[in-house]
Amino acid sequence: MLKVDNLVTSLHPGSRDQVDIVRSVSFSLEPGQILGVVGESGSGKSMMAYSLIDLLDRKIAITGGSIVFNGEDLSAAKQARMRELRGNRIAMIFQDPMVALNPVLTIGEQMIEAIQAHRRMSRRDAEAHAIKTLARVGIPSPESRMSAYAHEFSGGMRQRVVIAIAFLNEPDLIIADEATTALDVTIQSQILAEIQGLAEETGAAILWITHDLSLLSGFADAVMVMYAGQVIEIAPADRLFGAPRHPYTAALMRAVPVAGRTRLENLEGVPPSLADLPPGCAFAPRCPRAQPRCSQNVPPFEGDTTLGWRCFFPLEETP
Amino acid sequence: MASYLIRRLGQAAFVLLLVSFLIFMGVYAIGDPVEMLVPPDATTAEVNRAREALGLDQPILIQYGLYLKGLVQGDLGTSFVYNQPTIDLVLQRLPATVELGLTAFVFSLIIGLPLGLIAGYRAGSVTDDGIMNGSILAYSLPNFWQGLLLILLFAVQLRWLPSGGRGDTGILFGIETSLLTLDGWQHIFLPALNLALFNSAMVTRLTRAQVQQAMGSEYVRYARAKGISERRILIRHAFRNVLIPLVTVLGLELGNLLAYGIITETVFNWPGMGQLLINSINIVDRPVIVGYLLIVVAMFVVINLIVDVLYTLLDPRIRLGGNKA
Ligand SMILES: Nc1ncnc2c1ncn2[C@@H]1O[C@H](COP(=O)(O)OP(=O)(O)OP(=O)(O)O)[C@@H](O)[C@H]1O
Ligand code: SF4
Ligand SMILES: [Mg+2]
Repeated sequence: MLKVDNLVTSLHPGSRDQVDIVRSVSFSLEPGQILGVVGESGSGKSMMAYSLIDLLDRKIAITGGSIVFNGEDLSAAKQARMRELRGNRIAMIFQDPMVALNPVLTIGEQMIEAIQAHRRMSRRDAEAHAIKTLARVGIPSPESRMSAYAHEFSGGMRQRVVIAIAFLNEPDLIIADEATTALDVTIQSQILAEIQGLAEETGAAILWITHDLSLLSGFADAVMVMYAGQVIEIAPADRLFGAPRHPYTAALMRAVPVAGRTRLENLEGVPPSLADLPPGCAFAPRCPRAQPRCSQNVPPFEGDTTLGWRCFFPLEETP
Repeated sequence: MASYLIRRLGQAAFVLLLVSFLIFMGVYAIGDPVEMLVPPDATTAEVNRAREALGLDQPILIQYGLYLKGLVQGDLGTSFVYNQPTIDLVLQRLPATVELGLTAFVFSLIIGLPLGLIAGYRAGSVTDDGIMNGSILAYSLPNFWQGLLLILLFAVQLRWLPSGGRGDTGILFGIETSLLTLDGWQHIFLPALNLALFNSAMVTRLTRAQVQQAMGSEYVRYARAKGISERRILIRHAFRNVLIPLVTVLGLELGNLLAYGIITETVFNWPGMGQLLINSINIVDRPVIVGYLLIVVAMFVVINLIVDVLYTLLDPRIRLGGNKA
């Protein structure tokens, strides 16, 4: 359904200051599947997501690879076509609904416009559909909440509203970027369970972006780990959690997640600057397994888009 | 709501009191009106008689007290010069000034809002550059000079419009207005445009800055992610947010246009308050100066109140009284 092949996205494309921020990312996604994307702050998760749906800022553009969605190459699609797909076949959930929702428009208006942007539906029918969808994500007395504004909801309810909006047009793909990062743990796990249920029910595929690897266990079907704009490991979830191959993945698993923080507590150092990458493996300066070779050559990607890693000296399959 | 309005009225009364005191003392400091009023060869006895007749022989604080006493009864005093109640003098001319100011205000919105929206949406483009440069022109050329240019072009060269005066008026709700007749419109068009130009540049620049900021916001990115059309994003999502900061500034603009269109009134020979005020200042006609400025302040107070009410209508996060929800 979605097949991303060697996607490259760059800042200031074509100029002397060109910096690649998404570097040759490949993966695929089937209906109903949940793919977790994990990585530290600045690893390119959001830019990868924005590339998929043409939401990049003006000075950032796709410079390589392809995105095939339901048989159509999106990297070559026209803007008007992308607008038809966005919110309709591909929906997105952002980290902070408080700033994503328009503060001065009612929730009802923001739902109805999302329906009417894609379907010929009367206002009354759209309203009924919106109310039904709000009820589906567990918003109490949805009729009266239609005329409320974003600031009148609690954090958890606000995120449910945004999830309802994502499901309004029964999309094939939902991209969630740090969708539960701002919430406390109990609400977070409730929402994850609901998303799982909705995905199963509607057959929507989900690309779940987070910096918290532990959140993905028991939730995602497969996990993709990003570092400095690259995929450094991708694997089915049970396999990745059972036997990570890349030293960075292993480090992430040992890291203690701190709510709302994206820094790894027990891993020394910070990711390299994309404008000034080390010559060999991007992780070499922080890697406990690094050999001289690691700082000379870039390790190639071993495997395919369902199982693979980018490391000269991967961990043993059965530790 | 009621208690809010009462509080605001109390504040307004206090502001008016303070302003009346300051202006009263200020005019007292400018000079002695009696010297202006009596003939140069008047005897001391004549001067003293005139002084007594106008009540100017009393200590200044007593004079002020007497003025206040009249004020609470709605009496703005009698002009030293015209020997007419100030209120009559002002009311004869106020409709023309208000009409010019309001028309100029509407013009500045009609010109400024669309240009600001386009420039802000296309920030950094050639269109944006063009609009911004044009606005600098409207901004920096002196107002009277723009007025003269307008007269030269439209009245002298093209002969499309008259160069001054008010033209035919009609009566609406008992008030004389130019806006009911074609001749009236022909007369008001140039002065209103002249008065509007500076403000339309302000509106353009402010709208542009706000729209540019709004278009980079997260809620616009989210609206795009929902597949909302660019047109709707600009008009509904961005502009609706931009209106909130805009309204405050527009309120002040309207006040300025109503109060200080004096130069335009002079250039276009518009029979408004301007002439009266300038004359009154020249001859230290204190009741007229104080009365006029009090009316101006009252207008600002009313506009401010309207702005505050509009605010709460536009921004659901704010409740009357200014506390954030
Ligand atoms: N508008 C922008 N202009 C320039 N560089 C940008 C812009 N947005 C992101 N970048 C750069 O692109 C890289 C990837 O950023 P991205 O936002 O995709 O990271 P992320 O993995 O989503 O991080 P986070 O967990 O903080 O959201 C970073 O190095 C960042 O500095
Ligand atoms: S290639 Fe070398 S430096 Fe890079 S992750 Fe593997 S072992 Fe570490
Ligand atoms: Mg991000």
